[in-house]
Amino acid sequence: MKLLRSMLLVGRHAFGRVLRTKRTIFLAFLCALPLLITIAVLPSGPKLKFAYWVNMVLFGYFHVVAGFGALFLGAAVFGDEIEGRTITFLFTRPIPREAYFVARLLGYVFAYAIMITASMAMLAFVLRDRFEIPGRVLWGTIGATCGGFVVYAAILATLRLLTDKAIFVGFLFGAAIEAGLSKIPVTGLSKWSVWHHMAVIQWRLSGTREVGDAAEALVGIAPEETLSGSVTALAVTFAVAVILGVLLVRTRETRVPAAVG
Amino acid sequence: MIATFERVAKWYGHVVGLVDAHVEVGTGVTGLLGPNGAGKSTFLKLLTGQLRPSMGTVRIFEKNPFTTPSILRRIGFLPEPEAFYESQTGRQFVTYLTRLHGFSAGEARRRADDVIERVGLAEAARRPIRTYSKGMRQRIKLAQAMAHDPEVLVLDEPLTGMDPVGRRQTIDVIRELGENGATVIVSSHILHEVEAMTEQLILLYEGRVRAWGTRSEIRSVLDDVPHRIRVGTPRPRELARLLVDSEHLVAVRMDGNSLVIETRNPEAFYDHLPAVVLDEGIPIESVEAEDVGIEAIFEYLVA
Repeated sequence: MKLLRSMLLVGRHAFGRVLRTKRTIFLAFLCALPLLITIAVLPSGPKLKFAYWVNMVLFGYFHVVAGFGALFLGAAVFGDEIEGRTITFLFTRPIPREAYFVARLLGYVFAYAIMITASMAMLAFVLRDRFEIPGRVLWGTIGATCGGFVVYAAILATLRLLTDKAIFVGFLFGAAIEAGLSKIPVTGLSKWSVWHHMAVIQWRLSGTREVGDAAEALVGIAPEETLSGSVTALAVTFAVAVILGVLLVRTRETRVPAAVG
Repeated sequence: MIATFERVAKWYGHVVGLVDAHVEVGTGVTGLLGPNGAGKSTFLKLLTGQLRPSMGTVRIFEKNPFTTPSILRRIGFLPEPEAFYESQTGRQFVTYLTRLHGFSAGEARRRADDVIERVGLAEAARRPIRTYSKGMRQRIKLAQAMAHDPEVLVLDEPLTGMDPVGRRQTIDVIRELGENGATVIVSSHILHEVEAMTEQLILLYEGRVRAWGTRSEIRSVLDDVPHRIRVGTPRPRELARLLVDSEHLVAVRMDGNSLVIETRNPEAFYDHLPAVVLDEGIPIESVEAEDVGIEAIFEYLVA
């Protein structure tokens, strides 16, 4: 019970701190960008193909933001404490290191979930008179992007325990994997692409043809791919990343000063 | 013993942090002394479970601190680096870290207030840490280390950046903790600071424990280095003539109104001196061992 209380405390602390960082402000801006553009172009409504715009934003843009957001926020899950050297305060408390890892990851993910949900909900609200976004499309998109973000963030947080250059390595491999794998149908390597599964989840949750067409065109979803299959794939990837992170953090030492002393 | 190091070594790649350290630490204040880069921080991080030894075993309360986080409930640590959650107030900082020891919010706040008062930061407790001076930062670090009433307090260079009043107060707090039965391990590269806090020492140099024990114990085992004793007398020349034949004397030198004696057997000298001066009626104003100070011991050890 005490451990859970401490984890909640660490998660809340991480959430409070991540909201104040510059990278979060940048990410909030990225999340709000479609909303800002929509507000800007709304007066010229008839010229804008809203259905196309909404599909593109809902399907593509937020998925990309999830990946970029995870690059910065995920790598910072432990990176903030390592670089700030405040990790020494945490590692000298009677709490297992893995509890910090999980609690901080959840705190950061929660911060992103709030940003993405708020942005999409406002987008739907602003567009309500011109193009009604069905609730299930909205929730499908929120679910898919948050799910994808959680998985990306767990991978990046774990990667940060392995290397100080997690953002660079994550970007390099992420871009290569996602650009290459997500286009290969389910029978092939696309099973390893987070983005691919985000698309499947969004498509299946929203259940609309437009989203389905866009998904099929962009990431090559096969008709037989199911919601449960993709949720399972993401859950397994998340579990593997977290387990690996937990194993790494258990043996993690605090940073050694430049002049060994 | 509270803590033991058994043949402990720690390497950072090719860089040596600590080599073959074999030390036992008991209650009271122990000074960890050595120049920058001697391995003090490595020693303290090993002791508090932040680092895993490359070789050997570290035990505190009979447990391995790296693999047994629960033992950290009994330990308080003041780290040397300037690292804070800058936007937090001093009170929030101490409360948060105290809560991680399992205290409720109310209890943690009460403890934070008490300990902040004790380190003399009550007036600044509600200000963000980013507005604190270096000395205040040291004090708030000390507060977070003490708030949960640990049995062992590990302090890495706690006096760095403090003004003279702050130093005095912190030294008093450390001494008081030691006198009340706590175990305090405090590192410093400034000899007189350690000397003001404790007799019990661990001397580190280039990653090696050169000596450990009380100052006089360490000095006494330096057999190959003669002990220097200063005898104040108005008749130094006469006293020198009387002492020069003693077999345990290595050297005798006059320095104004005093005689500086070097001997390999100070006990024998102290026994011999009264007899000589009483027989000849030579007045003695003072007798002082000159090289039991940490500085002298350290010079001998690293020479």
